[in-house]
Amino acid sequence: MATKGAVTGKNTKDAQDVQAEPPSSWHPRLDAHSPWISLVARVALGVMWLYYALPKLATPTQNVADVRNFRILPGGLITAFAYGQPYLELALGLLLIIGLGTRLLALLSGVLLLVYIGGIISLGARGIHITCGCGGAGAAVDAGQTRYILDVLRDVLYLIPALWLLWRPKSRFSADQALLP
Amino acid sequence: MAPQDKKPTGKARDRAAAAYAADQAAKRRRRQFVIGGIVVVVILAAIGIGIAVQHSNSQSNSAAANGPLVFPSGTVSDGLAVQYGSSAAKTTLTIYEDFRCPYCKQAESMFGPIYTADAQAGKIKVLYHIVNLIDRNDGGTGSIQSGSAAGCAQDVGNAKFKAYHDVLYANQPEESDDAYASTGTLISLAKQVPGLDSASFEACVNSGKYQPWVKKNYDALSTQEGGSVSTPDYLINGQSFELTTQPAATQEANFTNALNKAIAAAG
Repeated sequence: MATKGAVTGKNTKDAQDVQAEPPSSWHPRLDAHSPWISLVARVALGVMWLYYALPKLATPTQNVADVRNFRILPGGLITAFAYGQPYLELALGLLLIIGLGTRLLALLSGVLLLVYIGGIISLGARGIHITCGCGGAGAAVDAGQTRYILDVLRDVLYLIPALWLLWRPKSRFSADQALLP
Repeated sequence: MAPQDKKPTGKARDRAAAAYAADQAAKRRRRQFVIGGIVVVVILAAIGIGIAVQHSNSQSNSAAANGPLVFPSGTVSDGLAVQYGSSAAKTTLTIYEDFRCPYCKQAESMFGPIYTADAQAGKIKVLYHIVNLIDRNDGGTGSIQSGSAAGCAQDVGNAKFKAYHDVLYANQPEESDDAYASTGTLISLAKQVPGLDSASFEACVNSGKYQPWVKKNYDALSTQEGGSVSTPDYLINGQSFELTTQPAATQEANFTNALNKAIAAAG
């Protein structure tokens, strides 16, 4: 009896260990693959930020014009935002790719994307016709040539990896994984 | 006996394991804070770099205004004016203007089509002097940047200058909005003029090549008017034609009459 009890006790403890592991989910196979999915999400989101940051870094005055075309920020903040934005995106992109502070980066990325989505929706709501900045030129175009719905959908698509990383920040080949015990 | 021995050992092991786990968790939390701190510092530093770049850009802009005085190609009146229309025309309309000035836009919208038609018919020649009055009144660099860009357009061709001149008025921002301070805005507007935008045009606009030229025009006008500059300033053969508060149709008729009189007098 004693031996059997000890064995049972051990079994119970193991079961608790499993439950103490990070959020055990409805799908164990998803858990097993989660660090790999997170790796893909991390790199994809990081590359996305670099893809949008680099052209803006090359043409800062064009970005000032783009930001101005949104007609949201007051005059004094337009240049500061237009110059800071590409560097912010560059930092987010590089940090995501090395995987340092993934969950915080996912949160910041998500917030920034929501700001962009809000900006595009407000363009549509105010009836301003520009070819939304977001990587392209924010020049005025005729009504009917805007593609705000596509632009919003694209940004919502980018939100998916950000939300995934917020939920599952642990990923393969990340600085976090190397630094956290 | 064996179970009694085993129980305390198990508890001790559990306690040790719990302490170890707690220690690990604390270490982990501390490192997470450090990582979070590093991330925040890196991001703030990146934004700081952006602001620093902007600062140095705006400094190089004011440096451009104090750069060497050069004149756009084909300019007349000691290089200060851009001429539109035939030199053979005996009647001269001189316009001092600022692309950022709302009254200049108002005058342009009333008188532009009239004097353009006369210039194209060879009856008059127009001398454009571009000044930076609004920058001086309201702050900013939209006047001097747009004026310099118009000089760059004159380098490409006189017809390009005229077309770009009209585009700049058609797209004039609110006076309080210094949109023309952005060379990106000026370049994207240049795309509305076929054949104007090119790498050399953009380089000219970005470097603010003709900012000293705009400044020189302002100084010349200021000297001429005894220090009190207002724009627009329309002069028909040296005679001032004032903008009034009369209805546009009346002012247009007056302007047409004044021009026709001058043309008739010149024979």
